Amino acid sequence: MTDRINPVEKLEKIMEQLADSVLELSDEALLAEITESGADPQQEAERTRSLLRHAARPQEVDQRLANAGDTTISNYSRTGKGLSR
Amino acid sequence: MDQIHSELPPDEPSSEALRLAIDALRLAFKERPQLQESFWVLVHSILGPADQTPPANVPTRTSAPCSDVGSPQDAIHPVVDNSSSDLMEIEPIIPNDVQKPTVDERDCSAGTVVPAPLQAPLPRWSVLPPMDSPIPMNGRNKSALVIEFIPSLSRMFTAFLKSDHYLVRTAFQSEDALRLYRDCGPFEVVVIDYRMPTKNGVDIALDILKQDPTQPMIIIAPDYRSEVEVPRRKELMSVPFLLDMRNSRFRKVLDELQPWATREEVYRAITELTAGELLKLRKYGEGRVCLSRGTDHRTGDDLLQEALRLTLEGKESGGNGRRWNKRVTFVTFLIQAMRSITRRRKDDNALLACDTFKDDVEGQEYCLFDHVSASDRNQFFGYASWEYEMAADQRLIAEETWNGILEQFKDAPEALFVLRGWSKGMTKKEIMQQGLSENQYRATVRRIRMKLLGPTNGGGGGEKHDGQD
Repeated sequence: MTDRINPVEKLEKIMEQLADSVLELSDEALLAEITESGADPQQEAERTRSLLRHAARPQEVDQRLANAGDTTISNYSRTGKGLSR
Repeated sequence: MDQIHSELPPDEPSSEALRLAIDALRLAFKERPQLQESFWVLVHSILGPADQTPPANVPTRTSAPCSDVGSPQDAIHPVVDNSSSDLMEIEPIIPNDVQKPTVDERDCSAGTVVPAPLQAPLPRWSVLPPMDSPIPMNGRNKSALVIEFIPSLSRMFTAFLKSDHYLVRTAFQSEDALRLYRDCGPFEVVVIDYRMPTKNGVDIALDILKQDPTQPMIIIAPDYRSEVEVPRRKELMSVPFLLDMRNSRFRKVLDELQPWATREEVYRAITELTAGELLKLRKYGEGRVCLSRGTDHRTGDDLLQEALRLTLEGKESGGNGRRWNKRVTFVTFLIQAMRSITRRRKDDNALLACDTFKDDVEGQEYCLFDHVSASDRNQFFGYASWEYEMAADQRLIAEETWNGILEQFKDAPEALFVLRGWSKGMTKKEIMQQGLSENQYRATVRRIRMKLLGPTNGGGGGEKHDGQD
């Protein structure tokens, strides 16, 4: 008898259950699992934090650059140097 | 008027017929404003003077907007929602709506003595009615209290809030509203009609604020054109007043009441995440993509970063930007964001796959485009051939990954049992009913997790996984 479920779908369902199983774990159980797998939980946690900070950073930098640009342009306008045609 | 009346069917008018009648009345009032007053005189002469409350959007010169005459209904009603949110677009000029539930419309012929509608009490609930909502209680649900004495308006607000995933309670009387608030409050939002009888909307709002000064509220005051005109507006300066009854306006005011996190609060939340929360987020992200990397090339880290990036983009930038509503924890929000991102991609893939693969008469699967040239595909189906090739590739890779997983767990029959159950969409309970104890299930899931999300399988190091050991 052939298995008629699409393999892509099968994997999607497994991933969903696998991810949800993580949510059912207590912090202690999760830490124990990570330690058992040979990783340092504290290090892994900080790596994730820095990952999030990194994801947040570009916009922060963009914002600062944009603000700096505004300041520069307004300074130029005030002093009358530049931006005049 | 005769013409309008003749449009109504002899028995109970349908909502469509009522809508037509309202539209016709609205047009007639616009053309001849004096007709409006004559209409209300006629309505009062037929239905009796029991309720002096002005109808929803008909400003009257004779009665104050905060009239405290009459007590429309003496019960808290469960929400019976048969209306859709687009009713918001209909101006609420349903005449004497308050009477509607108690008046037998077949008896509404001229000359018939209709008992005063307020004398026929609606059934009272011995206990509070249950929350009526099609949505299961989860992190997404929000609660709202609608304090509105006009049933059609109450239904309208309820329908609108429900469409926005609110669980809604309604009260038709100020006393009931305050009791309901005391027993069930606080709510995410309380919607109050300014013209509530017995106790004015402002007084109800002030009473609620005494119980919880932070309670978000909206006061509905459609009788006024500007906030300056609204009496006692200054007593509630922090509460938004809704004068314009359009959907978009209501949505905007509702949205402004939500506790959306600022960018700084998101940064702070990242700093405040505990080690356990960070690890949970990471593992969850890994779990959501660990078996699709062959086609997706995305790791759990990527998924987590995408969720955060979309959060910081916010809704303003358009696209798929998200906002963190602080009603839920930051961790829950990020998990929901990751879930939503992967589901969206999954839906895209499913759409592509279902167009491409079919079963033949013997039940064997085949690709519709196996024997069709790329140019023909483009010509007849309007799709680029690479999309079909991608769908076919994805399927092939998924097949290999699935076989790889079976190989990985060939010595663990329980793990294979659980994995097969999961792949068929079975729940934990359903799998356990097939002969696994709770402990066995947990241990098996742990084993699967360790293997598929462990560092050797790319879970810890962000390596690509192709389904093979």
